[in-house]
Amino acid sequence: MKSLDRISGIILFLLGLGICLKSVTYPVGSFKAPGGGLFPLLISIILMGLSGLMTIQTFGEKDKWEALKGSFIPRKDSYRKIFIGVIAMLSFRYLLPVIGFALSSFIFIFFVATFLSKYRWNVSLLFSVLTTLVFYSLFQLWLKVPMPQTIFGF
Amino acid sequence: MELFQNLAMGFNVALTPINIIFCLVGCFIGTLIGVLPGIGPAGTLALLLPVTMGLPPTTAIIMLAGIYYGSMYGGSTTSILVNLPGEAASAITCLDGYQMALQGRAGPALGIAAFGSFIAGTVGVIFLMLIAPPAAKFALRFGPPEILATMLFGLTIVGYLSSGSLVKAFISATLGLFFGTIGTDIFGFHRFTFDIHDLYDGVGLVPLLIGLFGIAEVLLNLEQVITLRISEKKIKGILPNREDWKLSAKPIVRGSLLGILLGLVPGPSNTICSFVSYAVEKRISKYPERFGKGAIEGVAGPESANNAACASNCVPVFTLGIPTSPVMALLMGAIIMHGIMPGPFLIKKNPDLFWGLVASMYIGNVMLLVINLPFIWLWVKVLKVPYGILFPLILMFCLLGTYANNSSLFDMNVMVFFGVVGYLMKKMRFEPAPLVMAYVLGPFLEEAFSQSLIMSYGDIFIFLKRPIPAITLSLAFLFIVSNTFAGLKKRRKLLIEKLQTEES
Repeated sequence: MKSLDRISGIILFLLGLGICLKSVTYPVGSFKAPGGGLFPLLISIILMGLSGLMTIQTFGEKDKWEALKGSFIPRKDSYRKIFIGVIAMLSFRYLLPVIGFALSSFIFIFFVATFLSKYRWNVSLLFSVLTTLVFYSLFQLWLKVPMPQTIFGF
Repeated sequence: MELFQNLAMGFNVALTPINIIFCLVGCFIGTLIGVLPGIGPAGTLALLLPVTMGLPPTTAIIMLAGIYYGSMYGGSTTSILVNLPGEAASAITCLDGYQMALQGRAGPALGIAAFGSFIAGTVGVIFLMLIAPPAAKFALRFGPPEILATMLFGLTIVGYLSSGSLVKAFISATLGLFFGTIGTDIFGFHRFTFDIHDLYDGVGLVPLLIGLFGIAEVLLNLEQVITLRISEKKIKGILPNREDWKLSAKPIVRGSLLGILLGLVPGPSNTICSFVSYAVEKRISKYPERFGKGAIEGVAGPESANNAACASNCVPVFTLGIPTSPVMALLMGAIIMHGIMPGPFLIKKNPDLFWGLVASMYIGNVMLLVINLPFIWLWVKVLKVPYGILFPLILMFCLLGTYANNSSLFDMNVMVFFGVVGYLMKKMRFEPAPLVMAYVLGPFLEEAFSQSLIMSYGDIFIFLKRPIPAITLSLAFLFIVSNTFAGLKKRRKLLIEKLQTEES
């Protein structure tokens, strides 16, 4: 936990530094006439201070939280699952304007059900078809949410 | 009396068919997500916010509020039946509620939770009704420095009450402030947009919230396998008997009072109220050893407290325009999206919104009593749906809901980004609540800050020269410092212990 805190402290400090450097390129103004860059500048200074403090704290005493909760990643396949989940969501987002709502939903649910929920492919298939039908009726037919134009032209 | 006139107007508004229907819809959905572990009121409100855009403002707020206090009712059902809290606020109910279920007394436990919630919820609404208008009048005296100080105080308290390190909570809040600056500022200047057109309007409250609370929660749950063992004993006799009522009466009253007082405090007040109520009941009880083994007071008190807190949570939003929790921030966001400015003027300018909401909360509490008790079998069935089927549906809802908000594909990217951020934050023990609060408050904070500086001709010490900001900021400072000293004391103790063991 300590090493993680140290790494995140340094990353946050660098983020604060980045925000600081970017905010001075905006009109900061002065205390008498505050400009758009003043508030972000103050925020970045506070962020650098706090993340610096957090990093310094990691050089202190024994980590009290170590004993309490488990490790960062409890199981080996968790990393994979998270990664698959994120890829699935992003794929849906990028497929949606290309192949349309119904197909993207179907692929998404099928993919997630097979690789994350670990159902057999025929169960996943049934689940995807049903879900797509329900969501299609809900979002397209009932709520009439406008969907992006696809390559098929509808 | 003016109060009764206002209330009569409120009921007039609340009893229109559309408002009754959406109150019922809100209460039903609220109970449903309260029962389901893994998705809470914050994520659900964010998802349904776009849907409410087509509704008139009062109807929208009535439905969203119904989801909020409905989830408090639903959360107790899972705590009692499955020993798994549907809501953080119902976590303490697991202790005695589940024990009662194991003893075959799930019925009375559920019954007293429902009745206690109803009584407390009603008390809470009465409190809201009595306190908010005079408090709003007092708040009118607040100028920019006072508003800034109160917001900073609120953020400090949220940070102080967050679990884990205070430094991390403040870092979380600072990040929230930063995300709030992305976009176009009041001068029309683009900040941190990096020429991305979609960012000109800012990051977006809906994608941020759905990502942080919806997606992140699912990602966290993917790491472990959730198995629910539902208490198989049949639920006979929902109604608590006379003995149960005798034992529960005082805890319900105490819980209600605790709820309305602590509900005013910013932070996770529902959760804190229920824990404090349990501790109080155990302390006061003549037989504290009964707690943890199925003492009905351990269910009645906490459940009443968290429901009373719901209504009292609304007071700062409707008087000062300051949200005290992510859910309240969302409610406030919904009000703003409908073109109504929250703040001291809200009750005066939009009395139908405020009094309509108050009246619908009375009605909602009755509806929830009806929904919860006879339909327990339905909620148990819902619980039996395996998580493997549930979470793809949740993800799908999140994706589509985020898209539907603004018909923006970019919003989905933002949502996934904040989903990952939320996941990492939770793993690194950063609390997401201060981030959300700070994000919502950020623009108002900046405005108040700039106005205060202009008022004082650049004198930054204006915050210490006026009484209210000076007092509030000093209190906030004391909170921070007290934590440091507590930390120092502990370190000294550990160091001394270390030295002693080394010597021997």
